[in-house]
Amino acid sequence: MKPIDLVKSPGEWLQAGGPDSGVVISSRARLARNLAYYPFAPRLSMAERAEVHRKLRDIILSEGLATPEMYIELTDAGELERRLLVERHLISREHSDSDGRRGVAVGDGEVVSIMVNEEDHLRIQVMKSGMQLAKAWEIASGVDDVIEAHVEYAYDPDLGYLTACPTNVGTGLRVSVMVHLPALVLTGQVAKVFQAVTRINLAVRGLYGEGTDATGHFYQISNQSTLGKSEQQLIDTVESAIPQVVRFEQAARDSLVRKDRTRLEDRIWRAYGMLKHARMVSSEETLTLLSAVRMGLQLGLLPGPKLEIINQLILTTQPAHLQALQGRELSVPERDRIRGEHLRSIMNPN
Amino acid sequence: MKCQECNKEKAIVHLTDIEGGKKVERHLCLECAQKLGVAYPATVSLSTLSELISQVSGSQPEQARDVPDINCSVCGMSLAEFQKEGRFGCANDYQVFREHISGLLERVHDGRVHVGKVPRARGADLKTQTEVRALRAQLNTAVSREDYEEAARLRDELAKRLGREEGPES
Repeated sequence: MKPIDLVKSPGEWLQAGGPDSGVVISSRARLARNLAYYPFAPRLSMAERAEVHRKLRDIILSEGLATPEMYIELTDAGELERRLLVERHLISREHSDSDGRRGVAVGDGEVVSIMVNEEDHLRIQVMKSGMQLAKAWEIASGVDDVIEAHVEYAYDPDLGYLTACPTNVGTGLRVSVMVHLPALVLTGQVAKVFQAVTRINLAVRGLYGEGTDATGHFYQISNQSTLGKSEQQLIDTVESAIPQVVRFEQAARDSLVRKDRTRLEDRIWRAYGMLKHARMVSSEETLTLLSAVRMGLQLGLLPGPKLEIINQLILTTQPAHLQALQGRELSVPERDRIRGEHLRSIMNPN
Repeated sequence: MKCQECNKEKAIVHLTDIEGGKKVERHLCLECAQKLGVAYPATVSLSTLSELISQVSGSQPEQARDVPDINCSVCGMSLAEFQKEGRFGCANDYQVFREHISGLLERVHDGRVHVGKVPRARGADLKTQTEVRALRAQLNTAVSREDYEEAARLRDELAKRLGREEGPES
């Protein structure tokens, strides 16, 4: 399998099968680790950078954490390929755009991805569908053990795993849950919920992490603190907040149906109609439309398609995916037209 | 599109509300959205991080002269640089800038001491790790000076140290 072939199917985390998958899209665990005998990645000389990269790549490949084809050297990868990886949440935008030797290993089903020479020498990421934080952490910790058998990590008994940014020090663990909250946004209650969530020291971000907006009403809720609590305690904090957020969202959906059913149905059916018939659709508009249809499906207000089709469209209608599927670069107007065609072909299967 | 509140900054927060059964759209800049309590600082970003740090050391980032002149002898990073970049240069910086980041750590985290996973292998102590990194920095300097004799000596020394610390596998 080649990296560009990733577009053909969604990652395991988008299969819409996991627990609570109505509101919770996916769970993610990310571990930050650094080699003891080198400066942090931003301060590596070019030669050291290449050395760290080679060392970690060799360990990843010899341990079979990814196939050689799926270890992607970002220095050699084209821009389209790098953006594709960002859209699939396999690498960060910073990792895509930085300089020097760096790479990413993508495991089977895109469950595990390992970034080499991002802000930290190693970023181990695990993504699962639905509410599965404990499972995601367990897998990430296993990969961590495999790599640790070959290297020595920068570690301090008091401060734990040492990271380039002091906001990651300690466990180096960030767990996050991606949730879809259209009804809370529509009823103007999303602010209230986030206030409550931030009060227990959790962070809320948009679809693509730090500094991105929440297009399509997708949000990521994660732990802020990484020091002073064990991995299990960090997971418990996030895990205990999510069912409440899910309950609020469901209550907001119920109240929309009860109080304003016709307006809600109109909104959902309009979105459905647009996806089935529009000739030019921007990626932002697509996410808004898919968000409405996704909610409509879960409320039983629409006959189809299946939830996983909508989840997949969230990914395949993004610019790099669209271009990879076409096999060429597209101008913005061309993209909007081809996005319309793509949506129509999926939404009108006959 | 400009922010509907201040009419100056670019609107980046777009809200659609249903008020009294009517759809109301609002377009705001991040600052106004935060003032109105509808957007949240996503997480500790670089700018808020350097704000936190400057609060801790009692100075503004732009008044660099007020920042104590402390440098890491291993990676060369200064406190002022850390305040600007929000990232450390090497693990030794945690020791060098310890008292200057304790406030920051307290604000961001739930505690001051690590209670989670511990590496399986007992690694070399911090002093040894720091010495090796310092050796590496000296090697880089020798290479950039084109002092190849010194570089060769340092490279041998480094290989010897790493051979001992990391074992034959590396």
